[in-house]
Order: sequence, then structure tokens, then C-alpha cells
Amino acid sequence: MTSPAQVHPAPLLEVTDLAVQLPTGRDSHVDAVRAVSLTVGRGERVGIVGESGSGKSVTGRAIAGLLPTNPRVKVRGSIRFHGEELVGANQRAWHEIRSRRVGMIFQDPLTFLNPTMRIGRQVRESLAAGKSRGAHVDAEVLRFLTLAGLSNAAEVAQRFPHELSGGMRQRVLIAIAIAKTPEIIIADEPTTALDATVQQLVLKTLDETVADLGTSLVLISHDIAVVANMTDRIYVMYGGRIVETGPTQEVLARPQHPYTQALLRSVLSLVDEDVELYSIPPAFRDWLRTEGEALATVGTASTEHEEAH
Amino acid sequence: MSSTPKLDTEALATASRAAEAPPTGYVKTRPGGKRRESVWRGFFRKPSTIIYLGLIAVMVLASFVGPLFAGDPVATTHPQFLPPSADFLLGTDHLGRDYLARVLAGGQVSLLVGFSVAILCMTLGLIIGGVAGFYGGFWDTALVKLAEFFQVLPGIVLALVAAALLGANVWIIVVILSITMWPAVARIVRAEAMRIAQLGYVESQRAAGFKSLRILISDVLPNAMPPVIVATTMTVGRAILIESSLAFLGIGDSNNPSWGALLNSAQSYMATGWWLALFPGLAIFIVVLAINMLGDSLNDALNPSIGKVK
Amino acid sequence: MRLEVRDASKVFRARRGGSAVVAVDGATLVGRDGEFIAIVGESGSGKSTLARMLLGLIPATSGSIQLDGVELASMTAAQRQHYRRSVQAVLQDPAGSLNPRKTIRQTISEIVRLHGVARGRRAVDDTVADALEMVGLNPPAAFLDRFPNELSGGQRQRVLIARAIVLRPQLIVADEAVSALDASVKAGVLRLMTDLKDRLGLGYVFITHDLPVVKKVADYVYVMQSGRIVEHGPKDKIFTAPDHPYTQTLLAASPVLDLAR
Repeated sequence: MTSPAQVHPAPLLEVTDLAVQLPTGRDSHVDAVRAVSLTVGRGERVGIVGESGSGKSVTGRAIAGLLPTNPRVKVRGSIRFHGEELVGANQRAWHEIRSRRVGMIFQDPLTFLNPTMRIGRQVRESLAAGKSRGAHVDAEVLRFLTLAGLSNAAEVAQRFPHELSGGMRQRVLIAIAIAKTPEIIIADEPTTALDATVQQLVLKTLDETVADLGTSLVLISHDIAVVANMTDRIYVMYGGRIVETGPTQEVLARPQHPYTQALLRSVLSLVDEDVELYSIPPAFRDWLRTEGEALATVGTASTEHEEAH
Repeated sequence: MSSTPKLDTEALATASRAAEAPPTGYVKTRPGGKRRESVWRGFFRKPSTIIYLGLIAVMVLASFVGPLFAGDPVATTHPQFLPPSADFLLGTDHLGRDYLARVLAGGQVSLLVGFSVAILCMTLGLIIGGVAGFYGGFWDTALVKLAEFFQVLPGIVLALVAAALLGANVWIIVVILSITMWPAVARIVRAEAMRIAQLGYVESQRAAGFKSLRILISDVLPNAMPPVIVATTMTVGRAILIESSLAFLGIGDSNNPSWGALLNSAQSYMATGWWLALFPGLAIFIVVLAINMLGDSLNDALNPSIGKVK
Repeated sequence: MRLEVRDASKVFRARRGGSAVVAVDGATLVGRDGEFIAIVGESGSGKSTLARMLLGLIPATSGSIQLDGVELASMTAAQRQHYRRSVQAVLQDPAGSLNPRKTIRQTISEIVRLHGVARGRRAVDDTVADALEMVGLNPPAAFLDRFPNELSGGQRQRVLIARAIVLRPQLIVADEAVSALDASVKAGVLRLMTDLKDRLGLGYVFITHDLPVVKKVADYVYVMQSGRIVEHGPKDKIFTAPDHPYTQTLLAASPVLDLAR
């Protein structure tokens, strides 16, 4: 555990009181994210867990600048990248972020990959240069494909997305994300649609790639097991807010917030034979909705120390 | 970063009790999930919908109820070539007939043709497209070929031949137009049926023991309706226009002239009687425009994903 | 009640340019009421095809599928209807397994009417309400006139189960019935399924790739790979002492969550 006196470098990404409102019909909208604050340091791996509807995916997209461009989408709060404020920034600033600083990996590669474009070309377009061609560029494409765990990179580069298996497509997404040499990778449910064996492979690839390149990682998932093994710190989200945060192992071992406790109990009940199947009761969710708003984010003891800067 | 207050023991206790409550179902509508009726309500409240529906309603009423109050469209007793005035709102034509009466009566023909063709095409399209798309295999191949055959038939030539052999009756025109226009609707139905056949609930219905035909009628076709409704609306406009073209070429019942037929007659008198061409032309324009805009609007209403997120 | 599959295979004819696909190769298994059996495998293992064969949606190319001794392929229409009543399906939802244009009431009551379980508006409504109550959708009146898009994922899954049990079947074939659900909702639905097993004497054929869930709820496990059943046995044996290398690979791949208590 880090000592309280350790000096921390300025965080790479600092999100403060982020709120996102999304339209859901002609006259209605939903507060997908209410008041999210989080930080990601250089080379740090951070996880965001929550159930569907908790706002974790929207948070990820807001950070990556990938929210829909519908004018009814409202973003408030602060997203600072290297201290530079991005909320309300112009398109050029966001374009810089999207194309060079932040790499995003989605759950469903099929919707993200262009079905009419060969893989090699899609990776090439992601490269920092983007426009140039030539032998050295092709070599770079192959390098990133290999780094992403695709051993037959040359062959894969010639293929179209639908010709690849799900696991391979996901690794192509990793390749495209790292080809930008980003400072931070945001992975949103990167393995949910995959079989367990493939999931293991893809996570291992992501793990190694991030370690090799020293990029920061924001891993978003509803699957706590996935996040548990790959992150240093964790944020637990519910109802558009962060309810608990702290070092991953700490939070999982000694959860403070009632929601985290209930969630972990539920997860445990699914894998532990001796624990009766437990689902979070609706009465509790109602309680969370009314009382939960009055509860600020809970941090674990060590986080408190770290915050004394 | 905000301070991190600890939860007090009381709050924790309340939370624990709530967390232990026996699980029961509860009613909670998903945020953003809306009742399907509201789609229609929203549609009918739109100002554009009201305007266009209003226009169409006015034209329909005028054409079918108006003649009861207007003059005799056939009587040639009035002075010829009278421009629009207080006595004759739309003037008189080259034979001294009350033009208002003629235009209103003409509306009956044009609108009848338009709506009848649309309904026939929708019916034929639903049946043939539905069977082709849902059953697939032999039926699909056969019916697609059938549709292709009818689609390439030259409608105007067919109309000319039919008119020559059977006489130029309104219903003959309706039949001819329907024969050439149903494949377009059937194509849409087929595509939708094929898509829906893959969906989980169709499979579930089969597993539940329902027969294919029942599933087609009860589950597939109702879900295929949105694009079909839009296409049918557009068909009304197209049918009116094609009928007008046919009338322009001289194919039509001379005793019951449609707007197109009136336009045809008005050709020779463009210099002396501008109103003879203007009013039927305007009528066609208004109806077709209103119907097309309505169809477009309907499309937006029935595709709720436009403008929504996630 | 006994659903017995003996050496059943399904071969899909070659499409243009391809070769024939053997989706299921000589599968043998037994499902009984009151017993929770699981078929585990990854995508492409043929488990979904096998599920559909059990439901009579896909005819077997060879082999035998028998319900209480009567061969599925040679059943009369009446026997088939009885089969459909006895063996019901719960398929994976997201948003696909319920007709979006029918209310919950319509969806469930039309099945009640089809099989003649109840007649007359009141009796049918009561039967539907009863099924909704049993799956924890209380009060039923609040759900009857709703459309699927107004319900959450977990609620829709419960509706699917209600639809399946309203005929009081003896066996439910569930294909990835809980895979797309969050942990808490998953636990709730699984608990419901085991409850119903105890209350109604239901049997399950549970098809999934999710091993931890199988370990929690199943009694007997079949492992499928590339169309064949490579191993089967009681749950404990499969999870503690698997024989087949593929089973071992599958077990090794499950993400392990170690929560210190």
C-alpha cells in the first residue's frame, strides 16, 4: 500500500462532477450520469463497475468524446486531460483527443468496424499519421496487429471484419486502439459477448499490451471478476453516481457502501455453493434512490490518505 | 475531490434492513420506455400532421359532399369561358359548364382511384410479400418471379389496351394501376417478413405450438406494418399522378372526368381559360403534396429511434 | 416424465460454395422432470441446435428423440400438441423473445387459449395472473397491459418464464436464459427457476456457456464440443474431477473471483 506521504504526479485525466443528460423521446430525457468524479493517473489501471443503467458506459463515452452529437445531449461538469478542460471545448480539441490521446474499445466490434473495409486499412487509418502510406506504414500496421495478439497479422490485415471470429475482432479493436499510441485506453465491456476461453485470451492480451506500452486503462464492466484481476483502483457506480471508490482489492474485500456490499453479495451468491442466491431487493433500490442521493461517495481508508495533497 | 464521509451506523442499519427485504416484483417503467400509444398521440398532435390531414380531409369532403351543394357539372347552360367570379367560383369551361362542379366531381374520381389502388396494393403486397418472405423456399422463388413480371409490365400500354378492349371505366383503371403497383409494396413486406422471421419471438411462437400461417398473420405482418403504411401512403399520391397522366393521354371515362382528364381538356384553352388548367392542377398538387408529407411524417413517427440515444 | 435423446445428429445441407455442416453429432442425453440438467459449450458447439431439436423446432437428421417412449418424429398432431405442452422454451431475451406489439396479457393468454388450458375471458385472465404471480411479478394487474419495452430485462425474463410455465409443462428448455443479465438480476431469475423446480416439479435442460452458473444450480452436466457430447456426469464430478481435456480447459478459463470474507 502506498504511504500517505508519497507525492503523486498530476493525474492524466481528471473528471469532476460530470453530468450527462440524454434524450429518450421527443419530450423526455434521462440523467444518465449525475455527479461523477474520478481520476486516472499515468500508467494507472482503473475500473468502473456497475449494473446496466448505472451510467458507466455513458461516462466512458463522455471521457472519450464519443457521445452522440445530438444537440439535446447535455454535458455538465469538468473533464480535464493534462489539465486541459474538454467540456465545452471545440471540435478540434475533441478531435485531437479522439484521434491521438484516447483509444476506445467497445463491446460490439461489428458495429464499430467498417464492414466494407479491410482490417489492415482500418488499423492504418488509426495510426497517428493517418494519411501516409508506404512500406513503413504497412509494417506498423502489422506490428500493432501482432501486439494485439493476432499471430497471423499479415493474413488478418487482408480480411474483412465478418470473416473473423468474435475474439479476433475484439483483438482488432485493441490493435486499432493502440495504433494511435494513446495515453489512455477506455475499454467498455470488451469481453462480454465472448466465450470464457476467448475472454481469457483477450483480457490477457489487453493486460500485456497496456503493460508493455505503459498506457493508462479505464476498464468498464458489469462483470466484477473481469475488473478485479486487471485494475488497481475501482469505482462502483449506481444510478449515475459513484457510490464507492478505492483500491480494487480493498473495496472488494471490505466494501463500505451498502450497495457495494449488496452487489458483492449477489455476485458471491452466484459462485459460492454455500451462499444462497441473493438478488438486490426492489425495496433496497427504492431506498438507494431516496437515501442514496444524500450519501456522498464513500472512499476506503487508504484513499483518504492519498487525497491529502 | 469531495470529502469522503463515513456512513453512520444508523444509515448502515437501515440499508441492511432494506437489503434484506423479501424480493417481490415491483412496477417500474424503464426510463425512456414509453407506451406505444404515445407514438400515435405525439404524431397526431404535431402541427404539420394536423395541417396535412386537414388539407386531405377538406379535399375529400369537398369531392364527396360538395357536389350535393354545387351546381350540375354536366349542364351546358351557362355562358362559356367565364373567369372565376362570385357566381361561378371557378368559372365556366369551354362548353359553359360550372367548373366548380366539374372540379369537385373530378375529385371523386381521382381520390377514389388513389385510395382504392393504395388499399388493393397494400392487401396484395401483404399477402404475397408476407408469404414469400416468411415461408421462403419454393414460395419465395415463385412469388418473387411473379412480382418481377408484374413490375416490368408497361402500365401505360396495358391501360391503353384495356381501355380499348373493355372501355375506359374507373374501376378498370384502378385494376390496371393496382396490377402494376403492388410489387413495390410486396417487396417491402417480403424484406420485413424475412427480417422478423429471424427474431426470437417468432421462434418462441413456433415452440409454443402455433402454426406458421397463424404466426404470419398474428405476429409477423403486424410488426411489418410501419414501412408498409408509409409505402401505402405514397402509393396514393403516385396512383393519382399516374391516373392523371393516363387521363392526359386520353384514357379515361369521358362521362366522369378526373382531375387529370380536366387537365387534358384544358390543354387547348390555355390562352383563353387559364383557370381551366389551374384548378385541377392545383388540386392534384395539394393532395399529392399533403399525402407525401404525411407519409414522411408517419415514417418519422413509426421509427422512434430517430433522435433518441441508446 | 422422461425426454430421451439417443444418438441424434443434425446435418445442415451445404449452401452454395460450402460443405455440409454437422451441427450435432450423435448426441445422447436424458432429461427428467424435477432434474436440472445443463448442456455447456462454447459458441459453435451445437448446443443451441440441440436445444431446438429438443423443442421440435429442427428435425433431427438421424437418431431418436423420445418423450416417454414416443418418438418425436412420428407423433400425430395431437401427440405433438401434448409434446409442446410438456416441453416449453425460455430463450434468451434481450428484446427479441417477446412480440413488441402485444401486451403481456395477449402474449400469455393466446398460448393458454391455444392449448385449451382455460376457456372464457375470466378463466384465461386468472390463469395468466396466476402465472405472473408465480414468477414474482406482483401485483399481476400492474403488468398485464404493459408492452415489453416498458419492462426491465429481468422483468422480461420473468415474463418469458411465466409464458413457459402457464401450461404447467414438465420440462423447460432454456437457451442462454440468464446470460445477458446483470449479477443481481441473474441471481433473482435463477432463484426463481430453482424455486419453480421445487414447487412445480419442473425439470430443466439449461443450455449455457456460463460455467459458474452451472456449478451453482445444475444437478447433471453434459459438455459439448463441436457438435459432440464429450463428457457428462453429475455436477460435482464434472467440476472436481473432469476426465476430458476440453472440460478441463473450460473449467480453467472461468474467471475466478476471490472475495475475502
